[in-house]
Amino acid sequence: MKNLNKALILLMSLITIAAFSQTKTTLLYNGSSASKFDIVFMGDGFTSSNQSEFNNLVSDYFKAMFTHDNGNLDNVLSELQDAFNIYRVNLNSTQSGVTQYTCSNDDCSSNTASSKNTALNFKYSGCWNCCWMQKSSNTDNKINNALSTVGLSGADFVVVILNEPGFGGCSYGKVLSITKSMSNNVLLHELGHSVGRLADEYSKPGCFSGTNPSAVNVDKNDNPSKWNKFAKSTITTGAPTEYNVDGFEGGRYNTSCIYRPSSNSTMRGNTSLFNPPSYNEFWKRNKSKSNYNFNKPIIGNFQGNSYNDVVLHYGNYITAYPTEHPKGFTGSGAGITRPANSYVTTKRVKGPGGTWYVSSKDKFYVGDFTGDGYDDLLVFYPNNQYSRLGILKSTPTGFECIKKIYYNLPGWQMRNGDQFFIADFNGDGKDDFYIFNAVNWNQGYMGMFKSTGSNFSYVKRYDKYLPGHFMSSTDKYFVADYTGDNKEELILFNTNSKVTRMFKSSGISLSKTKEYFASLPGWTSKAGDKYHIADINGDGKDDVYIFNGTNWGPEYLLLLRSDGNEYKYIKRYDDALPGWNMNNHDKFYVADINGDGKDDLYVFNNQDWSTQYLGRVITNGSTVSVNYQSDWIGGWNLGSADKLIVDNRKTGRDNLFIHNTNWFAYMWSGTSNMYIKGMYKDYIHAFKYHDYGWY
Amino acid sequence: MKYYALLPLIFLFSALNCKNYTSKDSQNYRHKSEDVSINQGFYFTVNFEFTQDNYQLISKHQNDGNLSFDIQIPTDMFLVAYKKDKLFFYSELTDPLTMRTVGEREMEETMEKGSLNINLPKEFANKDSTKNLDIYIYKVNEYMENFESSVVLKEKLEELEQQQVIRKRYTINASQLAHFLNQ
Repeated sequence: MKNLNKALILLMSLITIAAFSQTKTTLLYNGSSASKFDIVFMGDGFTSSNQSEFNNLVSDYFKAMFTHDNGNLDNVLSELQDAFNIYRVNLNSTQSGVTQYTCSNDDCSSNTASSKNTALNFKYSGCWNCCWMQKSSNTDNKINNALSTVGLSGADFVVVILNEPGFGGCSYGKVLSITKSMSNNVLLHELGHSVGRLADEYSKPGCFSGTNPSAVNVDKNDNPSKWNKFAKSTITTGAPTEYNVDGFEGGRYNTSCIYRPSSNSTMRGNTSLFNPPSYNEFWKRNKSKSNYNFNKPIIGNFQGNSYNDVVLHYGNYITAYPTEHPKGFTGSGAGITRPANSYVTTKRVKGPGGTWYVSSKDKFYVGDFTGDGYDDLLVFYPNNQYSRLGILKSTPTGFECIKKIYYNLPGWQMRNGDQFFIADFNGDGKDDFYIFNAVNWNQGYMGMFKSTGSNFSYVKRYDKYLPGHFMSSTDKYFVADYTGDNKEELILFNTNSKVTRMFKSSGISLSKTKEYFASLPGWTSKAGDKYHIADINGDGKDDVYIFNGTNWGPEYLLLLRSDGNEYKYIKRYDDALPGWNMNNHDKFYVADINGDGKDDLYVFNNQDWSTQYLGRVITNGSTVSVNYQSDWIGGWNLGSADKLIVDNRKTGRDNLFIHNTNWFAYMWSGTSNMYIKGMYKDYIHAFKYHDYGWY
Repeated sequence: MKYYALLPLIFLFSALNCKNYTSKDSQNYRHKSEDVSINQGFYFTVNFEFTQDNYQLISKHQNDGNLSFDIQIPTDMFLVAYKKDKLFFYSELTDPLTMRTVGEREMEETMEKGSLNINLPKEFANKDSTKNLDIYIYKVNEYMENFESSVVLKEKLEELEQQQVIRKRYTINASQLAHFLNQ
């Protein structure tokens, strides 16, 4: 009998442990709890057989938080997602549903109507003046024990979902409890409180009499410093109304004597958009938890319009911004072409080819590999014999992984030192690539791989020699269609031997059409020569600008044109260009600046002078002339850390993207100078107005 | 690798500043907050129970990781620790005594008692260093434009207190806390 009792006690203990045991599921992990904002979802009143319902509820909330349900307008949580860790903790309650209690007027004392044995002992009244629900005396302990058991005691915010169909939620400290009937936007509103530290913009009759609230989205003044940078003197118009910032009376539970920044918003009417100061506050408070920066922008025509779009690669995330008139905008700010609001932020690119997990080591290359007129991404993960290659096809909503290649291409073992040169070498309209490696093997290799639209197939591999050329690690290759036959070929310059060779593509192989030994027409080659492939005279055959700012006393710029087989001398400039005194650290960028079909050069020098200079080297096909701007371009203060990327367009003027770690801008080329179209600090987002032009 | 002519076939089988109108100094400006990381390897989560005038240490848990803090203008409450009057640790808090009704009309109410988990650096368990450690929890009364520059020194924070834009609500007994963390 004693043994039977012991067995029963043991059995009951096991049942109890099973009933209240908790399991943790990681929905989003980006780093240690100490460095990220941890959000934990828990349930109360869900039995073991109710857990799939709880999981679905959490899944819906999770999707609302991290997908772009608002079109391209915003989802600040999604854009900031690498600042968060999200967990689901499943708690099995013994009984389904939660304890009910009655209430009347202001009497919230617990008159229990029906009692339930649940994991966290929440009680629901359905009375607004009683916060709809309340904790039991041991609820906090139970929450803390559950968190501690699964290693999440340091969580920043806990959302408890009650298995209760009635309406309501209650917030206290770091805990939010809501019933399962609460909408996604209610949760987003509550995250506005906890993650963005925002105030309610609600109001009810009354004059606000307190001191000025600390939250950025309410103020006793109608044009406070909290949001006046987003407010134009004459209020902006059109959709989205949340972005028309002014001092709107009413907020923080009072209709007067206090102001909010927009007529409606997530923090007022649970609309889908936070107003600009609120959106900005999310970033300000959480950017230090994110790896987001502008150090590695990738430019390509991913959305298929006339301008190049922007993909940022930071940590193990990519986020993409279309360069366009912002979608969803009417009225003010609608007609400004600029990198607008992110349409995807992700660390996983899924698709028929598998899932590509973005790594901080990834190297991205841009090309239209599918031939659909949209640029795609070729991504290389260098990891010695375990290197990977992926094709990420652009789609209207992001990217799709259509092929993942592990370790080896046909006839090619991938290695860290592989250099990819994107080129349509067979002229079929789909970008292919040359791949070169002379550092990981005891001889050089050059491969040609053509795109099939969904994969790459082997075309040719050269071992040790290209036709008439011994490959080495001092080779520098440049893609150029110097024959004008729409098949992109290779120009070689070897910095050691100073030889220049031109390799024509037949589509299946290369042949040498010309070689120059240490000299080109009008030019003695030196190791510091910088080649810039460009169609200088607009004849459809790629020519070349060559700059040397280091190997001689003066600096030199040479213009050579291609006749289809070899280079012919156009012009050489010694020391100065008309309107520009060349200097050692001049950096040149090929672009058709004036849109005349002849490739010009942007020239940037941010090191050699007391201030920084950005010049436009315009060619007429035989000579060049330069105009420049210095120090400031509109609201952009040129700096030593700035880097440029050309917005290389199919037609029209080629513009510029300029960036450093925390700043990003889009500059347009005007008839006589450059001007800013969009400028961003800390994050890219299109607002209707910003006093400093940061939108 | 590529010494052998047949290898391609084998492979075939196997594969298939800027920047505002204010000044150039802003170039290195990230945002006003200070992001400080304490290299420690672990930190504590302490469950506090609060009343209007007092607090109790309820439970503690040790977590792995380097606790960092980021100073932003606080909206509700904050815990601040000074070592020899210089800022040592900062954490923005949510008032544990405020309860807010969610849905329809939101409303804030004050509770008599509430609890809060606060993450604290491991140095708080060092009994020797707590001799010079002052730990306070302040309630925010009003918006403070330049809070980040005020909080770095104890005397500057006391000026804010004198101006009544913040109110000291709790003084945490550092040696009692250290003792608790070492239990």
